[in-house]
Amino acid sequence: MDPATTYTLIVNGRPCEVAVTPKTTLMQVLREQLHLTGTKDGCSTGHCGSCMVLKDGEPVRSCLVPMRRADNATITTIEGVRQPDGSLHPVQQAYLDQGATQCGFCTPGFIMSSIALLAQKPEPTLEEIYAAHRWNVCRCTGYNAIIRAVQQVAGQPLPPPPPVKAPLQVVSQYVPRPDGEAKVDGTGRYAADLFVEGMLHAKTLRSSEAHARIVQIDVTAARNLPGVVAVLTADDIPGRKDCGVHEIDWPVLCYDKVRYVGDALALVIAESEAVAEAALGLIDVTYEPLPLVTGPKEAAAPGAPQIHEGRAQGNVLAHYNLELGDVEAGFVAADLIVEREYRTQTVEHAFIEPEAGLAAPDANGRITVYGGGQIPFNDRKQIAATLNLPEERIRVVNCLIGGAFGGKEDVSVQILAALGAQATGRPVKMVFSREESLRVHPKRHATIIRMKTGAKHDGTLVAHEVEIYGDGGAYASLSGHVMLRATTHAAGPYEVANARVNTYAMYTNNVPSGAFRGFGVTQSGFAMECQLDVLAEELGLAPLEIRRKNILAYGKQTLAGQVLTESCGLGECLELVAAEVARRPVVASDGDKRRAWGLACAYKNTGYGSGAYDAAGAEVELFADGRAIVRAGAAEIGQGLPTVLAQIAAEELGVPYNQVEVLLADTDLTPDGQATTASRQTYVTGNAVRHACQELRTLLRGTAAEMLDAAPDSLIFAEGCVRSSTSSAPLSEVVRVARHEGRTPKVAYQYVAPKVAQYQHVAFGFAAQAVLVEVDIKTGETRVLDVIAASDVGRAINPLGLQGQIEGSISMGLGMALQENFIMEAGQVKTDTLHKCKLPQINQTPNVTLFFVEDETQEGPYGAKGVGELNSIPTAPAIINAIYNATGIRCYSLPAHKTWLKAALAATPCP
Amino acid sequence: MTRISLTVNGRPYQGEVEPRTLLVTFLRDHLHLTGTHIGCDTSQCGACVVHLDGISVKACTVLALQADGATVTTIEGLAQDATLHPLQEGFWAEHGLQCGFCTPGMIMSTFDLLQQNPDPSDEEIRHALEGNLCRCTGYENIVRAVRYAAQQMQSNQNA
Repeated sequence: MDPATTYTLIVNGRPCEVAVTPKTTLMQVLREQLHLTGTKDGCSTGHCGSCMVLKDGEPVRSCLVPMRRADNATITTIEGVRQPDGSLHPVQQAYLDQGATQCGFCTPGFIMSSIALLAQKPEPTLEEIYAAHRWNVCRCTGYNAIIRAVQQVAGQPLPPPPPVKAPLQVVSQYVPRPDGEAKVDGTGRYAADLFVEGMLHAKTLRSSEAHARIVQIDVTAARNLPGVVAVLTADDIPGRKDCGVHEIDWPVLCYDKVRYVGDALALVIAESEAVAEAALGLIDVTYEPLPLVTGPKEAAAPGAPQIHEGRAQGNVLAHYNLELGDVEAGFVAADLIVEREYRTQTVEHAFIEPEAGLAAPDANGRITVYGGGQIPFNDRKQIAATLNLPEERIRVVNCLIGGAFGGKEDVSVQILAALGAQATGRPVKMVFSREESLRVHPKRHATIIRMKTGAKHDGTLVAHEVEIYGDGGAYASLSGHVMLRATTHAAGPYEVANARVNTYAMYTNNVPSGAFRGFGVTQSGFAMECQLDVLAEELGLAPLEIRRKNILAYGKQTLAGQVLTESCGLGECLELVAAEVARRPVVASDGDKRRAWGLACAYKNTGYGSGAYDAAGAEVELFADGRAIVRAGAAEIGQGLPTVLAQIAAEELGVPYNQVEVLLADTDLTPDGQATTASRQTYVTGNAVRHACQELRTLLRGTAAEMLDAAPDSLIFAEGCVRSSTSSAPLSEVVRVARHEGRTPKVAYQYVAPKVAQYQHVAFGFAAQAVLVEVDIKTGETRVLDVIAASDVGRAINPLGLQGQIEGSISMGLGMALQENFIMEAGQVKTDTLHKCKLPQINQTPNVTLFFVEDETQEGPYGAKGVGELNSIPTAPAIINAIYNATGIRCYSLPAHKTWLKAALAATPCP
Repeated sequence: MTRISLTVNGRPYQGEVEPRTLLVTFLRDHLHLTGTHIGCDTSQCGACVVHLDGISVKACTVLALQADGATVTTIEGLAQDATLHPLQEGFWAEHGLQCGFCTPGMIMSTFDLLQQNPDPSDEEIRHALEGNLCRCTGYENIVRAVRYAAQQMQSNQNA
């Protein structure tokens, strides 16, 4: 190692000296030496911009600045941008106002870029905003809100926010996030930001082979390296050696064979990350390579190598067969049948925060695991089984989570760090590098979808036969559930009387597939929306007409035979979008540019459905100073759950919104909220909070009734008071008296969603989108200019958050349609940097117009249903349909990358 | 700073220490072996007793430098393969501990005693523990705990 040199810096106005090697990066110094952890590390390779700081006034990615180039520099980090009076910088305030921070991980970097831009150009053009943020990547917002935030500071006119139907006191009002301030000022703690005295660092040795038998793992040399405290292999695991959210098939550390290149073989725990990294290179693994299975069809072929030996079903991870009506008779009755094959690619979540965790033995010998999982109680269960401890000996606490999108449902660093802490008796921190994150965690399933659809001349769908092969990768993860959802939603939001769907999730030697926003519906929905346009053209109908003819509405039934009797606003969504499109004429041909609209719809379940136990708990407590706290076990991954829960509690208790604190995801302090998945938390945890507040009011009514000499039922909780028709008492006073009487104003409520039949759901969100694209027929490049999105969400409880969910969803759909593709060759990961993920960048942000349709669902809180995934589904097919309408070229295999489109246009030129 | 090498509980360690660093500080702050307690800093309480080359010492009266090249055993090194030492078992079984803070020092002192005198009288046990203070137990159960351990160790030897 290079010798240390002393460098002098002025950071946020304070001089400091550090002794590090010349190659140590400015980011490392800021984070690890000075513990200014507002500067984030999303990739360490300059691709994400989360580490942006000002160096002598210029924005720089601090991960690319070696200290030898920063000596005597003046640095401003996010911690240093507040105004001298302590109030937020106008840029920070604008990010809060516009909902420009969701998970918050990229936010400090963006804010630093925005500040640098506005200092130079107080009234920037859109192009200048793009240029100033070209090194910053955001995966949550779709950039729309970030652009609005910059424009707000510049005093430029902003479009009015989408109206909501019936705002209450707090519910359906535009409010800032409760965790927003900590996200814009850099004080919010993510797991990698934790530094504990005496902590060790863990690193995992990953397999070099995608399929092999393990002959020997020799860790002797690694154990003898000075600074190494422990090297663990599967033999050192005291409890269950496999883990998994549902199916327990994934070795924590491999023992007999490896099944993909992300498989863990050994865990090194050392005094520093550098020593742990060096020790990995000293571990000698002898493999006996096995033949590879590289795709789902290959996995299903006779004689294919078996990935999980001893399984009666071979490589079939899950198979679903859904039958409705008489599909053969349906095809006989059809006037037209089209059959097409669609392929969707593997997609990476690319949350900007790589997986991180810290496990620390408590004073009493329990182990506390700080991390960022979507299912904290399930993480605890898996950790306890592997450590061979009762669940109560493990405490899982979520830090802020820098995005997840389904990719943090599986346990990752948490279980390894906990093993390390148990083995060493010391705190163990573990942070995945971006390369490791890409290599290890489950992705969106690549699928091959064969779709045969019959229709009458008037466009009525009469028969639909679908076969889906999904690449499940090496381990089950949530493949079974994802592919089930692909199955039940395989006809999109349309009624077809006769249908057959056969879906196969297959084990392969690829990176596992699991949960990802859209959860299987993205894939089958893509195929269906393309199929409808193909059908419409052959029938001589407009895409809008064939959708009008078949969309789900009251009295119509889903593919699962579920008749919709309420909360189905798809018709209104479609008409809103159609009317807006009609208002915007398009110049279809302009030099090399071809423009056209494309249309697609979607529906997405709220909650697990299919009869699963779908429950969530919440506890609400009032304090004598007038504040309330909501404690809920659900995970917040950026979507805005704390906002929704605080709004509901404020509405129900009459407490000011900013007086409600929300504590989430601590297995010691909060009741289990189950998984943050299936667009369910607003519905289930929201309901739990609402019911808890109602019981809390009942509890306080007795006290207040005596104080006010009024009938308990006549009392109203509003504006921080309890009121009768004639008098009123401050709620804080009622709480004080109740506590004095020994009645603690604290209620825990477990909400259980209504149980539904197989394949059915308590509610569905509906969406329609129209997308205007511009294709350059010379280069094959597609730009998405406009998106019109109408969404039936039941009730827009948190309109600012809702807007962000929709805009972010559209961005993900855009990436999937045009450029994102996680590539594996012979089981080896080729997409091994964030740059290679080809995430949408700020200059690809379309102009988005939103309509909220609020067709309430009776059981939802204030009528709300799930929105987190919905709008990520229709964007990709709408873009693909638009490209077809513009050029006559249809993409059957995503993504419609410009090199593909250029070649296709060369073969079939468009007029 | 001076470099020292020593073996603690069977494991080799190296460290950089100032000449004035106490052994107890090195054990607790550098090696995070916090079973050795600091109760007074003035060699009155005996909560920091460890073994230096097999002899019980108060780790707050020994410089880390003096332990260079030595073999140190702390309370963490007493149990073998998760089986408690008879002394540890004795303090537990005979209620020889309450708050537990003095206990590691008590055990390390009496360990040394039992090595020299496998069958001590109550008087000899009390004499051996003159350098260790306990404020909870009144010492009665500590004496019983040491007797328990002595018997166990003898019967283990005879077995």
